[in-house]
Amino acid sequence: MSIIGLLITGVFALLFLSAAVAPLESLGWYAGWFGDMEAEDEPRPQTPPSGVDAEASAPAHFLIYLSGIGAIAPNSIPDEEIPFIEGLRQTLPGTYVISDLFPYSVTNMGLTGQRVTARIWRWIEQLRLKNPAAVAAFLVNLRNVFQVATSADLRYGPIYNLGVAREMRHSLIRHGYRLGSGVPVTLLGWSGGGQIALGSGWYLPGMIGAPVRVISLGGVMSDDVGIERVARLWHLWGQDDPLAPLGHWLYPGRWKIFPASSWNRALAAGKIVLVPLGPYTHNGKGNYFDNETTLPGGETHMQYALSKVKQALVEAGLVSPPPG
Amino acid sequence: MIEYLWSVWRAIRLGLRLQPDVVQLAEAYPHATAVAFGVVVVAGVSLLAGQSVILFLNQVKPRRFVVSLLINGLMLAAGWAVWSAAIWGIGRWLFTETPRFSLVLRLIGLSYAPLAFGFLILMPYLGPFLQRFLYTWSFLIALRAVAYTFHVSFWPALICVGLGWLLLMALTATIGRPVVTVRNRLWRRLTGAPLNASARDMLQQFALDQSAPPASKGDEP
Repeated sequence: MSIIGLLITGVFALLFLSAAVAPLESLGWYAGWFGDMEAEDEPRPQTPPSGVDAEASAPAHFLIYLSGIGAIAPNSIPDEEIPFIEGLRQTLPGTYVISDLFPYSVTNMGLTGQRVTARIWRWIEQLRLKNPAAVAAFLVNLRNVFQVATSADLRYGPIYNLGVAREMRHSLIRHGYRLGSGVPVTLLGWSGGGQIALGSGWYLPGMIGAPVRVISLGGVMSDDVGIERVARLWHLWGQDDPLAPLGHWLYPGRWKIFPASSWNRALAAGKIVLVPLGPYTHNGKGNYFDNETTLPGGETHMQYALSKVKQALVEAGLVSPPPG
Repeated sequence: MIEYLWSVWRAIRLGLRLQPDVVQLAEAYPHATAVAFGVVVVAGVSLLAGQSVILFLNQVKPRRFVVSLLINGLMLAAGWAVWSAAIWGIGRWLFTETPRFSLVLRLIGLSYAPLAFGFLILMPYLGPFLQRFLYTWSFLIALRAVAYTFHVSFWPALICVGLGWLLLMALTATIGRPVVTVRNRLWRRLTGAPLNASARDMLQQFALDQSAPPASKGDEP
């Protein structure tokens, strides 16, 4: 075999091997190999400053932002997403926006956390800081894509999504959410985060005793049963985005020929709202976070996406409508 | 030991294609049966690794996990011996060629070679497709092995393998029942899961056991 042939075989072998070991993190967590899932401490809520009435100051709505497959750790996400998250905080008064969740791990442990491979990921993180388009940074995407596929897989999804839902619950409590208060929660998942949001939607409503809604921003989603337990799903998608329709092609439950699937029943019941955004791409210029490319109305792609998120939440009665 | 493992790896590579010259090798190589045994055990270990979600769901600890993989390898080897005997008996009954049992055993052992990659069934999304592909590949190699050993074409080989499968089913349902019961008990004791339990069934039940969602607030349908 020639050197090129060996290289190609090696790359494919590594790819297949990486995919095969992808579910082991969540499976091992469930089996108690990596920490005891039953013995995890209940997080302590942040106490409000003295003199502040906790009831009165409590937000009326919580939104958890789930980053795309470029995320390395809860505090290390691609730069382009940061202004969008800030935009959410400014656009949605009365909504507490949480963005400290790493959806590609059942324990919320970032790739640069206490892992055997942490040094490699830290090195890649440094490379990406210098050059966001570095080839090595693609490894982060690849690793996280396999976790998205794990979440969507019928064999592993129930375990993976349980882990992430628990981390969501922990995060909510850390940020002052009172369990049983019934305060609604919305999960906003970008790209692969859309699938994780939908999958976790099976467990989270029961865990917090409140309705959960999902907003997918260019999300790649399967026909996950989570759709049965979320109150509503808005799918915001760009017409020039080749990745957002991937879920439709890859998962038969989303095909029209299976009208009894969870997805199609939810679609028929009006539970899934499809929101076309315009000529958005998934990556690069013209993507969902692009704050320079403008639409015919004069708004940038990011501004318009934010306005559509707000519109959805206003229609659901979760956010106050703009005055006037 | 390393030499043996190397021989098993070479046998797996040979088995994947099962060219006619493999028959001569299987006949002439002094430790061919031991190597074929290695191929089948590796296949058993790898297959269960690929379907190990059932073990993780039962929260099997690492040591028990490894033992379960090895036991599955040995169980597959036992099945290989019975399967080979069924093929050998039916082949001798159907065809004029009368090969030695050891040759049939060795070549059928090589037909397990694709299953050595069974650990790849773990892959999300692609895993179940790959599982079907590997089993089909293994079945086609078994057909080829029968065709070579009994010097017959595809269709008679298919009839032989089909009848062998029917014989095994009949044996399992009759005189083989105590053996199957012992095997299932051993398995349940090791892993805590029924041998024929579907991971999907368990997961669905597990998901259903979680608390139901609260009623939706607001103006939702």
